[in-house]
Amino acid sequence: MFEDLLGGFANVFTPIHIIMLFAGVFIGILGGAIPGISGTMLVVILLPVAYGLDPIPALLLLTAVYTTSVFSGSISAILFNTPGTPEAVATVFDGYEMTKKGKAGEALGVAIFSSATGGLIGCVFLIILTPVLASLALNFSSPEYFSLIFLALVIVSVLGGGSFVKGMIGVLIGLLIATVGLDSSSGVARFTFDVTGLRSGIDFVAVIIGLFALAEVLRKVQEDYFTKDKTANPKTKFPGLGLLNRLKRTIGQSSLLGFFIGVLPGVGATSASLVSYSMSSSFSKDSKSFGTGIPEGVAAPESANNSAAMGAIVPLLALGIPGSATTAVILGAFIMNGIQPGPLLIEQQGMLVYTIIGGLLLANLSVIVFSKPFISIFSYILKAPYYIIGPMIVIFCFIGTYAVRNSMLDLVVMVIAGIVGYNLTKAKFPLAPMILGLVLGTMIEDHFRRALIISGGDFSIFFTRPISAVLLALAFLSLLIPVFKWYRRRIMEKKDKVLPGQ
Amino acid sequence: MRNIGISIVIILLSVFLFYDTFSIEAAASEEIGPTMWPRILLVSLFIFGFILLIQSLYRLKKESAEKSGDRFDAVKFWGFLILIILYIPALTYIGFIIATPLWIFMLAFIAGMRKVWLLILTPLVGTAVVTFLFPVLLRISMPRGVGFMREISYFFY
Repeated sequence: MFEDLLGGFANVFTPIHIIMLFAGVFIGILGGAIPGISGTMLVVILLPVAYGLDPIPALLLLTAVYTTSVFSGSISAILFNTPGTPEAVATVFDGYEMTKKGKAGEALGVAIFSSATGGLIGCVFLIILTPVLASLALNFSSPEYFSLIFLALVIVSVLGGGSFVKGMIGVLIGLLIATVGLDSSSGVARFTFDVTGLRSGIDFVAVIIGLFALAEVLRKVQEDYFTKDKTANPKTKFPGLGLLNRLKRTIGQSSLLGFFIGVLPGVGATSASLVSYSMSSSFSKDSKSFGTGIPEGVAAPESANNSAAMGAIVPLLALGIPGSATTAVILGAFIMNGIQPGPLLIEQQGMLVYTIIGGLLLANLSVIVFSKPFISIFSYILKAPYYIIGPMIVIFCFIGTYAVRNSMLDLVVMVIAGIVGYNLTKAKFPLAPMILGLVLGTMIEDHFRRALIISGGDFSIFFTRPISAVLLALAFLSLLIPVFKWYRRRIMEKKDKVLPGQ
Repeated sequence: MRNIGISIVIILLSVFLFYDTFSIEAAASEEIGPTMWPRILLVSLFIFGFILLIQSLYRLKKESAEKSGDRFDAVKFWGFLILIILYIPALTYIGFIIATPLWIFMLAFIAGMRKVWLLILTPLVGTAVVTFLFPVLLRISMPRGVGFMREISYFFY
């Protein structure tokens, strides 16, 4: 493993790899900082670029974009009170307050430092945990895999934001879309309605681009994103030793918390930053000063979201099951390049895995080096109005979809997915469950059928094998979370009724 | 209201697709055939769609006065949507290289761009960038259109 690790790190420094990595860092920092372009959308739009490249440079590009966009959302959160990406929502609370106090440079410095530290801590855990999890999963066969994916899908519906019922509907729709086309084991056509183009299935890239990018444009074009603030060009100020000493506990705790939240399927960096912000404020000695513009309030969410972003890669590399919507898209990029992530990947293609991990480490480090000079250039570009960004994203959506297999039908699918996605998000349906269902659909069905073939059609195989039984038990236990939430809400409502006005 | 509409669509969809599974030609001897998994999904989808319908009806009664705070800009929404839909035939017949600057121009105008020099510059620069990046650099062959428009596209990629 150690040799692979060193080999992987060395491999990052091949010219084409390093160029792609830095291109990713640049695009990630720039794109993530512009409100209205999220990291998921950037990775989605860049998928066609991943076609034209070899697997390693393609994956380095996408993972670098993914890593740095999580950080750069904080730039506009701090300067303009508008989170550049959803992950930076919690950074607004104290970040913008610091700007109002004239401490924008200090807030940016803290954000850069905590993001990079959080990302690096996350990376270290990623390096330790991935092989362990992969070697555990080597003993898995179809029943275990079915139960594991089932658990992932249940957790993403429960914790993916929004209601559990809507999450489950999303998962089921995603799974159903994956069944369209020729069935891989019997060769029979399913839900194709005699449309020849549907026999090869619905391309998931088209669906993802529609759901995430096109739907987002339809929504954002109606809002006025033009930032009228004329913030003076702030000088980024890195935290000095005194401040570092004050922040080290917050950064350490939030990074740890963020990482483990990130490992859970479907619970990405956004939840991690919100949870760690509220944890830090409730456990802090002066919890009342959170929200008034203190560096801790920037350090907590920023270290947590970057660490969570690394955490979400662990199940992707070790099990082939993504931990968040963006990693689901990255899983798609793996599959497009003919690579199936899973426990065997690290054994058979250790070089590839460790090159990606090395790239992630370097991308996190480069946040410290590059963001300072970039931010002063950015403060102009960040004001780019949506009437320039919106039309360009539309064109990118079409190119991205068409590039996959030169199919006009895919364009139709993408536009339909965009309209559906627009309506679903308006009705507060979370999109991550649908994406996970879609990406994992073929895999879960294959394992389901294989397990039943092993058992001769006996469903008890899922409950009698110990690991599978434990995973299923966990899935059913997590179903209790929404019940518990509902019960707590009812008690709170009753309390409010008993004590009106309090 | 939107929730009720969505849940009704989901219920109808699950019933329709369940009915459609009977047209899947599965070998009768196969117990775990290609229809079993979709049917499990569709039955579950029906159940969750039904729960959502009941939930939304219940909430509608309780919070009928609640208004959604979202702004809806009909001109921008429908303008974008119609242009997006029409871009598909435009790519087929007019081709990528001519349709793209026209569409960027129209989309930007609808989105609120009013300065003349921006309205001229954005489509040209935007098209140049994406054409260089995708058809030229990454060799992604975008649709060329028909007739003389096809010939024009060969000048660029």
